Amino acid sequence: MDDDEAIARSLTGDLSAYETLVARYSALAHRTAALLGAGDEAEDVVQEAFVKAFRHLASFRRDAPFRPWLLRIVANETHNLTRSRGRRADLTVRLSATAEAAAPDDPEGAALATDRRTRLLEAVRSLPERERQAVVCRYFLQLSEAETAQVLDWPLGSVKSRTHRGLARLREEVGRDL
Amino acid sequence: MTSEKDEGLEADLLALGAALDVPSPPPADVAAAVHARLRAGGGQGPAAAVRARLETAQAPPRRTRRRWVLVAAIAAVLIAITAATPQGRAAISRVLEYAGIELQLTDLPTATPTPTELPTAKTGATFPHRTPAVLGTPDRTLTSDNGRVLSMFWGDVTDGVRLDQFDGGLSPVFFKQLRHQPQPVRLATGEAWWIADPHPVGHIAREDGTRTPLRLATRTLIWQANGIGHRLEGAKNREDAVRIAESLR
Repeated sequence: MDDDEAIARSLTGDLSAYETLVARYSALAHRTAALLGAGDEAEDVVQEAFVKAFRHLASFRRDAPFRPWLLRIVANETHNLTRSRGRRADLTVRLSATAEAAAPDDPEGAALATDRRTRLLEAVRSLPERERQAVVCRYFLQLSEAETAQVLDWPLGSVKSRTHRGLARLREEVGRDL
Repeated sequence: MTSEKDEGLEADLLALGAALDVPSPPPADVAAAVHARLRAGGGQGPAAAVRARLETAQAPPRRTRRRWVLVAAIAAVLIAITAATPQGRAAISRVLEYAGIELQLTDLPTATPTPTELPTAKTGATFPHRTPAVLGTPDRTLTSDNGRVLSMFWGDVTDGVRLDQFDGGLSPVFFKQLRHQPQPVRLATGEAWWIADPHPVGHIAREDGTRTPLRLATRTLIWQANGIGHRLEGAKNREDAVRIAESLR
């Protein structure tokens, strides 16, 4: 069952069809919520987003892709959460342990790579919030500029300029050590 | 800037993203949890979800409620009850969200806001929009909120007709404080609501949720089409508003 069919059936009230969509986009939705700052509340945010998406499904333009439409709701819920907490949406993810084990025959090289990544992650963490969001969407979530604009509800020009400024700042932060 | 350095940094960022550990529960569990929540909320479809949410709200007189519920169910419009804003919790009895407009039903007289206009920009609207054929080319067109709201004006600024189109399917763009329930109206293209009395209207910024009271709005028709929210203000009466709304091309 492709997205369009699952959406058509969900609109008639077929919850099993909607479950298919939820299962398909669950991991991506969690990743989006966590990376945009939902932290350990990502699961709540994602559930709420899927419930809301179902209730708003009639407003989804059927000729448009589902993925950015859904992620915009996830981003919006994350935004509401961090706003209600009244503080900055921190990026609280960790580097996975497997990254260190990627080159078992070259422990020094792997340690160096891990060290660089740790510093880069630290630099992304300390970016101004909007630049960080742009960088997270473009590189960590691998969304296109147009998708990023839709998900964050920004004009395309802001996506471009904030990504550009974020990259410049990152280059400034980590570049001098490389 | 050197593009070679950029590419190196971009590649590093992509690799870093792939190496990030973002745990998520098994998709089947998430699907089951969402299913259970939708079923608990009346899971027969978006229309039933609306009905279920409305029935949990404070009940207006029974006949009105039945009509409201029936129309909402038929139209499958997107109404959701949200928590009232903390500052207005005592005064506001219900908050409905429809077509990108948050409707606050309140029993108290509302203060008249000082007229304010949103900061406008020359950037075009960021969404597809249309013009009502019966009114023809607007005398003035403005965009605001980073192209998220497009406003067209015909005739006198204070006494003319104004049509706002906005990309507000998901989070409200405007809020309105009403003392009476809006009346359901059938358009050829779907459902709409008619607000017959003057009411304060305000704007909710997407980026930080800032609420700006704008002015006292006159009679208004609100509806949603193709994911775009519409509010038409200043038509002579309900029939005139419907005629204008149905002529959108």
